[in-house]
Amino acid sequence: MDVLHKKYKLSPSVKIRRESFGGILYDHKSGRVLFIYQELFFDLLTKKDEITFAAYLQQDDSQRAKISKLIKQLEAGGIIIA
Amino acid sequence: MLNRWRTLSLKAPLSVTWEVTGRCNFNCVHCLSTSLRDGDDELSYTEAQAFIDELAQLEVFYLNMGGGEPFLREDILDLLGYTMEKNMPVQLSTNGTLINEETADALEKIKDLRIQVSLDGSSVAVNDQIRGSGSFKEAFNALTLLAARKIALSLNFVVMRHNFKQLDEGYRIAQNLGATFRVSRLRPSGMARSDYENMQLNPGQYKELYYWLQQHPHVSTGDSFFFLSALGNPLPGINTCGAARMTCSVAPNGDLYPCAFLMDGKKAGNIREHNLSFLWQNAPLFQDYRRREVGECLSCSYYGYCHGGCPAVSVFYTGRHDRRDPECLIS
Repeated sequence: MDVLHKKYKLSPSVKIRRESFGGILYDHKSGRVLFIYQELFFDLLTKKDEITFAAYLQQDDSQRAKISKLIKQLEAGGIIIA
Repeated sequence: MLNRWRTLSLKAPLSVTWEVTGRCNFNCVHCLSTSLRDGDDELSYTEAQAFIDELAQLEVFYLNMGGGEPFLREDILDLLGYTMEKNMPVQLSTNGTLINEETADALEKIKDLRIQVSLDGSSVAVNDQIRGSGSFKEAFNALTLLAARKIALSLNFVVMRHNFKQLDEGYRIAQNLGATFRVSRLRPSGMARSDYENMQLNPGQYKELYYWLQQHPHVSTGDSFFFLSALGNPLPGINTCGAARMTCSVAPNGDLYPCAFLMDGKKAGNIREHNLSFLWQNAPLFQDYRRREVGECLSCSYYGYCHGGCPAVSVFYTGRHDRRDPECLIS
């Protein structure tokens, strides 16, 4: 399934903080800090019960590819869980 | 290489280091602290609670608690319990000497706690020469007690000229205990100032360390060695100094500094007089560090890899934070 259609949850070890440029993720388990530079993307991550990135489906191909890559990286790093 | 976040202004630090006490039962030759050796001016429990409340309100991601020896504070377990109530993860640095079965049982109950025990050699002879007689045995005992309880654990190894050859063995000890191995750079602050030039790694050892770290990606460094990234592929981390941009340090009496290694110099203010949020946003010293560019390095093609290195080392040698890290291997 395309990652833009998948449903995710934030890992319990991840804390998030909004900043003027988007926001920051901190994974207490790995100690990793990630800066998210898109406000919309960060807004979606703050959905507590169910995170989806369907809001990007209407974007152009290059934007969708960029976001899909980021989603896959977050999933591979255990930040979001399908 | 563009280091995008250097230009960002964060509303609060990502992490804060707090020396909960200046008191210590050790007298390590390389200790970053020379501050208070008595407990007279430490933040009281009530003041500490207010400080932790503010960290939680500011959404600071985690708190590093150290000292001095934190377990010399009689209320340390209460403080840890309070940070847990506030959902604030803590990394606690200790020499391990005061951790017994009872303390380890209490620590096991604290959520989101990582304990970092210092061991600066893989043998009694090397470690105890640095940290004092009997310290290896006591630290190892603490590590064993904590590991048995599956408490998240790091073994911190400050790498120096005289323990460099024991890096591999230190790594093996950590692995056997199920602990993260953390290697830290010696900085010329606190006690280490008096004999720094004889304790620091020589250039050949730094180069060897860079390749060792490349071969051991799971070793944690707390971003200590980003100045070595110019030797090739950058080391994992942000590859620039986070002082006053990402983190800051609070002394036992509430004095605020850009970093734990800059506590011999100017302070940004005191959290008893102003709250952390105000000082983070407004302290001239912090603004100065955020504007820091190292002019003499700007033409270097590796500047994006290190941004001039560690200001604490520059301050020690030159009195200025905007000078090149004198231990840079490229220049």
